[in-house]
Amino acid sequence: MLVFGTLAMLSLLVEAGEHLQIERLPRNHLRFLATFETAVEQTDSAVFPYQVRQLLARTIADEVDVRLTRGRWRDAWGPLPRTGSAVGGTGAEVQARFPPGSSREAWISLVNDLSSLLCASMNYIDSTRSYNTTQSDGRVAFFGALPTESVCTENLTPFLKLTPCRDQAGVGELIKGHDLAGMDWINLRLVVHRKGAEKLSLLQTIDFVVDVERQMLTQRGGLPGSQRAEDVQCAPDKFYTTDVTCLPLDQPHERRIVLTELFPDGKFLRCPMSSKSDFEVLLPSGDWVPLQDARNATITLNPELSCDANDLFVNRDLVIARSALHGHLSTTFTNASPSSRQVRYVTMLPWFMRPQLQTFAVSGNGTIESTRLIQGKQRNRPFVLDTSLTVAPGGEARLTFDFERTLLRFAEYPPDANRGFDIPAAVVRYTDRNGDIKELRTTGALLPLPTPDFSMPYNVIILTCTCIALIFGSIFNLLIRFPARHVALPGRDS
Amino acid sequence: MGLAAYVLRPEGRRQIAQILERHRLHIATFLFVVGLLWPLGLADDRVNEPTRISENALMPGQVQTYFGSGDFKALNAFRNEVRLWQAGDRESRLDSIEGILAAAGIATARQHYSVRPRPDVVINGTNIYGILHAPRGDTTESLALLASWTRDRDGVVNEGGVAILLGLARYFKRWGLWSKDLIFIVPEHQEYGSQVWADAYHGETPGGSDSLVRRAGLIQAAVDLEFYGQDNRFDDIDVAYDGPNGQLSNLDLVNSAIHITKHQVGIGATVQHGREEETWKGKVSTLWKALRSSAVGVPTGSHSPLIPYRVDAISLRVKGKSDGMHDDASFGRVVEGIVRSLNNLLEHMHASYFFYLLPNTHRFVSIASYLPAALLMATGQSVLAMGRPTKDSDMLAVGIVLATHALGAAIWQSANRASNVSIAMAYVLQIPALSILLNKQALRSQVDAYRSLALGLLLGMISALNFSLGYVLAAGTIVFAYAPRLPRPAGIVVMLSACPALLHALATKSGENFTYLAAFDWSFYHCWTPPTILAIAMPAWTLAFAVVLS
Repeated sequence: MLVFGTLAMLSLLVEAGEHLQIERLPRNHLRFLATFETAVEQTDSAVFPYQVRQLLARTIADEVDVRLTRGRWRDAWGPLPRTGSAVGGTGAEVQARFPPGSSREAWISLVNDLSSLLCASMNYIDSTRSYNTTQSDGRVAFFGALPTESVCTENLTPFLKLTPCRDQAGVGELIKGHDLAGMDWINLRLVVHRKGAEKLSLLQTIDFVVDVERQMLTQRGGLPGSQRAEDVQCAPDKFYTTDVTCLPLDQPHERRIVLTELFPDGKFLRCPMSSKSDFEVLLPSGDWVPLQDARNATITLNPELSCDANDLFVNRDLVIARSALHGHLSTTFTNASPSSRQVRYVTMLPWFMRPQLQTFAVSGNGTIESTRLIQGKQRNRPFVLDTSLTVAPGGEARLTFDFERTLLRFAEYPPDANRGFDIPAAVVRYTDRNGDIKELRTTGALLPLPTPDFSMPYNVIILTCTCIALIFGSIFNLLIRFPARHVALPGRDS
Repeated sequence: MGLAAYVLRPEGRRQIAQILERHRLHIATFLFVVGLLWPLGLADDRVNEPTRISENALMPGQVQTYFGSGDFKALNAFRNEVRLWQAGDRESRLDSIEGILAAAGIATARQHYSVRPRPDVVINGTNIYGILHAPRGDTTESLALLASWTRDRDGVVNEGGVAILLGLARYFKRWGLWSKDLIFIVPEHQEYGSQVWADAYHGETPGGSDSLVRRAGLIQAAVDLEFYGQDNRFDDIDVAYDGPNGQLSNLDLVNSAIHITKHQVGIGATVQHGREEETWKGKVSTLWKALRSSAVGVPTGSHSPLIPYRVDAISLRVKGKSDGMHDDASFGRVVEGIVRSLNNLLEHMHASYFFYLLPNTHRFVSIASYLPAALLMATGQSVLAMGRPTKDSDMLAVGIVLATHALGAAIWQSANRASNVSIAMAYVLQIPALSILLNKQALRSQVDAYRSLALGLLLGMISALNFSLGYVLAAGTIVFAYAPRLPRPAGIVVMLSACPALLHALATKSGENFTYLAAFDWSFYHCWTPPTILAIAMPAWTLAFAVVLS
């Protein structure tokens, strides 16, 4: 109690707050948006995480934005949370803004620091996986993506350590590492802002989607895939229905759950550091309740629920035909709104995936407004394709181009070369019918490259050694053995 | 003095050449006989090796399978539904499949196609497929499960396969452990439908078929379920692994499937519908079936069309009587076990063999052991060319051989537009023309020599691409070497009975549609056997026949 009391005193000096919004999605899914904010005026405040302060001491960046995402946001779930601006592509994504004239070294040093801060492989975001642009105010914006990063508990643990009450109390305490294995989609975001020398702010969000039906199956203690007979509803109008024959209806039925069922190990303790509102949890009913009361709050899931429709659907496909070296990337933009949409599509392609601009085309109900290509450089820089296009109302535009797959050098293949190479998600920005700027990511892609048989050098060594042994033996023979002169022995012919 | 010194000396080399030239027929005969009989030796356990799993990630049979315990009621109902759909029309069937998959939360898409497998037959069909997105997956890689609706050969409906596929889709949705998306495909026709689907998934939509609207990244592996007919019990499962043109699935996938079938679920397994015997005869018969199927080169099931696109695919075929030991649920558990194994894969399958022959389910022959069979016979043809008399007409002989092969390629190019008779005439008319040209003994010997040289070279190339086709062609063309040495009437009879196109027509039972089917196999199934027969084997046959006649 004493500890919490002291912490509560401290919290008056800083702005710290956290809240959790719970929303229903179709087919008995639930969406959780957890937000943690910390802002301080003096940099030596004890509340602001020490690690982040250290990070800021080592970098000149004004703004750092890290997103760790796993899974794919389904179109059926409606628009992305937080207008999509908090969501990254699968894997890790880092954006940072540096003062004018900053060099690449500052960026490389920053991603290395972030790597240790969040226990992720962001140190692999080198110059081949990032690019920079200069903004209108002269600041340099860097963008890097690491689609291979598989977000898991080892990222969540250090992430939660930075929240106001760590994983001891508050909203952060509810989310346990092992829960990640049951989620359908998870997105962690960390934003650090520096305004002037003294004003620091840290924003963290954890957004995730849970399939309640599957979660309940697992938590009932049965086998993960098992289904209780009483949970199966048989189609009523089938003549063949017997004790052993039953056509399942499989419609998720209305279900009432209590939050403790989803967070069985949660303590539901208010975080004493939180100086903002006392009501932390927004229930799907639209009521804000304190965290302690949320423990027993009942959520009614309605399987018939429909969600707000998206204005724009984007689908990207990477097609590798039988040709060994070429591939095809097509992105389909479907405008579901009654007016035309301006879409900006930015995609970063690794240097070994060279776009062939002569094949760049848009078909269907769309027109290209402008296209800009940051030329890639072998083994050095990625290609960045920045396209603005207009999609007609209710129409579908398909942006396509071919690319050439470059052969890598022997040592450039990763240990799992046969898996293929992860291509980062593309960034799509558009203004929706309400005038809000929305952001979304396409799916990533896996690019198979021609891969040598890595056991071949071993075979070559064996073959070469055999040849050398044969040649050496023959030449050795020729050099040191002389033919015996034929001597006619008496009493014999020739 | 050592071999090197002997070869390095000019007179040594000349001596070797003389020996080869003098005994070329004996040497060639020896090579032909050894090559021809080589596969018989491959069935011996001292030559072949026990199969093993090379990819450690697969871990076949290491998970408990639960399918069937709570799902058998649904399976029985799906069987009833499948029976009912056969009475209705296509649209209502597709709607029902879509309904069942949608209830499980799986979005579907359709693909219409039309195929013309014979000049007077047009087949229309619609493939339906649904994608179960892996939780926390990013649609970058997937596994495919297929169950075609009807068998192309006789129109029998795959009742068990489709019912089990739908049951599995519903069951797999409840698991949260998938690392790859799962694609459930019901092609309307066993081979036509899956060929069109596989082409479209990889960006090729030949005339008459739709492109696909839903995709799920790279397909890492595919399993096809074949349970045709109305019975719901069976004894054994046959694992089919061959794709077109002798391309095979990775041996790890085949081994995993066999391992799970036999040792986890406890069902008997076979390959090539062979009898699972330990006898030498049984193994030879299984090897021969594998050779024959690869040599013909057309798909052998719904899984085959995916294999050229770097998708390792197998078909599981039930065998046995209606009162067999096992039921739908056991079959489903086999598939569950295989899919769970494949779900573990971190990389595309690459650790094991892509070139192999299976004499039974637990022994295999690697390429190093079987490739010499075809190469020895190809070498035999080349050795025969040693007897060429050196004369001025050398260039003419080379020209004749090249021109005949070029003509063969031209005939192949026009095959899809020409009738059987005109194609046959195009080859047959060459024979008297050539035999008049080859009136001189020297030119005749030279043409014969260059013909066998070219044949030896081409056979070697074919064997490297498709061993089975190379072996069968090399075996079939052995008589070309001996017919000119026989008395003329006997030679003519031998040559007539060894016409490659005729033998191919008999083997594939293509009959009156020979040219159309040859062109169809090439353009639709991307099968190399017809062009190989018409542009490589037939010109060699015409030349050999002309040498016999002149």
